[in-house]
Amino acid sequence: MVRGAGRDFEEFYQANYGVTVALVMGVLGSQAEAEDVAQETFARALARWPRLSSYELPEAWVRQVALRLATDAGRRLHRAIRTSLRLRGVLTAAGASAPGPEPGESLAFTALGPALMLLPLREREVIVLHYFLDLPVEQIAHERRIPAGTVKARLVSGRRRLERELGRTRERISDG
Amino acid sequence: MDEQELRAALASWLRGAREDQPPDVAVIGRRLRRRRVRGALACVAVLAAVAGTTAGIRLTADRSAPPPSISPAVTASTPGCTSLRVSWSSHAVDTMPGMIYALVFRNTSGRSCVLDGWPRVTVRGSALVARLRVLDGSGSGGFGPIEATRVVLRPGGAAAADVQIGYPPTALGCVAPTWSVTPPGIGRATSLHEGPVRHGPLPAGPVDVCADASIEVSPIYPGDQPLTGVYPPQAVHSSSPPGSEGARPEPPACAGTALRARVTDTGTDRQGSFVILRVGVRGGDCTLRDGGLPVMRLNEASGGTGPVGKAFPTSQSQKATQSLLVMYGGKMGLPLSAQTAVAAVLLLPRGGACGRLVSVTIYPGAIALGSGLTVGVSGGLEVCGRPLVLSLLPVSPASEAANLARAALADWANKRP
Repeated sequence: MVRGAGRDFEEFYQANYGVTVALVMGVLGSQAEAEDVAQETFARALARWPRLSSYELPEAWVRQVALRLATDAGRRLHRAIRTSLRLRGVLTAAGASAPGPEPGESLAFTALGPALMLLPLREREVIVLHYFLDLPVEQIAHERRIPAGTVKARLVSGRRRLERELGRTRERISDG
Repeated sequence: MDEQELRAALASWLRGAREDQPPDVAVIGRRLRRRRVRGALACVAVLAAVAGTTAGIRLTADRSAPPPSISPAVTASTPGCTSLRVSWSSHAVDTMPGMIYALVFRNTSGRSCVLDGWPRVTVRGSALVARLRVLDGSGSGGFGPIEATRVVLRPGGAAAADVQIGYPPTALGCVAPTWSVTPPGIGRATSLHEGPVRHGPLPAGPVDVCADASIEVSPIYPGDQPLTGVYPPQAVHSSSPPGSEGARPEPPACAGTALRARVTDTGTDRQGSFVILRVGVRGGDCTLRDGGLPVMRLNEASGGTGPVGKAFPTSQSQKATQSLLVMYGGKMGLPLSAQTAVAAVLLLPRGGACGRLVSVTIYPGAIALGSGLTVGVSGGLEVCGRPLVLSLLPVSPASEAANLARAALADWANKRP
């Protein structure tokens, strides 16, 4: 039985590169880092493609590897980012680096990224997987190998923390 | 911000990244080649380091070199193995150069025998596998310096040879071929008992090969699992169980209600704390399954369902566990009786939010469900982050479990980013 010939790596790569960059950027906050992690992930996928292509969901493997690499990179970066944001002020950082809200957009659109970066990595991961990739809690639990209850708890605590950080941002904006 | 707003905000923030144009796939191919070159250089560096520090290890197996010195009593009286059962090991190891499987040679005769050298492996099947060549690994040493070792197999004992299958990135199409294995010293191929193999984190299935794969076979070494690190050569290794008790019927699985346990030692150092429990059973003989990995749930002072220890079998602990395991008709078990006990080691690494440990519940099965035995732990040890468990250890010497626990905590601390 010949397996794996039907799925072309390039096609898979083209279809999944962008979403992988976005996933990792949601966790790391840096597009350059996210692109680097995504390329490393796909290099690893290429090395294993003959086997990987026979999977029902090779993209789940890619997500797992990308998040693992992002976690490694993120732990190095997280402290630096936090320090930097704290020093400059989250709002100032958000306002300076991101374009201002378009008419009809809320403040959350521009302040979300910096505020998200102030959350612990594990909370960022589940928030991005659930609210950006629309993965159900059970699938996140399966892929991250943690209980579903833990996923729910991280979602709840992550959102609570995010609200708090966004609230601080609003306060700083209204203070001028 | 409600859920919908959060979704919209994330989509807006990440829209640019999602629409990021992927670089040409050739960029990924070049990156992969660079990784492989780096991996090969690292391998060479490790080999060089090993060569520099370990005088007794030959870096590439040399068929023409004389065999390691062995006791005259063994050479004179022990015949070559002729009655062997050959099978794949239950799991493979996923490494960067490819997958490493182990062919396991089990002595099915009633007397000890010797295995020495390389098995001959051939693959048959479609036109795809006709192009493949199987190398004996003596030239490149691609999977590490496995020394050609003369292995004495007791009845039921096992030796293994690694088979490394490298996947080229350009490969399209994989097949499950027919494998044929000729053990060293035997002039005919032996039938291979094939079963599903767990491919590292990947689903279980047959041992397959892909177009243009490279296949290398190591010499025989003692053991029954793939070797990925440096195997220190030994002059003579007598293969001990699992296997030598293969004819013994397997006792029933241990019930949670039959367990008895008590804390024998606790300790704390810079990397964290550990708890050592002596675990036995009351009543008749029974078996713990799953390769000697205990399942323990921690109960904290704050109440609620506590965390379950994550298996963290180090190479040292696994080596110690080997002496406890017995093969029962293809399944590995750890027998317990009223007279025997084992040491279960719980590791509490530092880091993260902490709670106070009040007791541990140990379960006889593979999951933390059903009846278990709860043992109180005094001393106010803190549970911070994910607790770990070592594979079950012999209870003596008494200091070994504590030493392995400290080494494992240090190992864990080093592995954390």
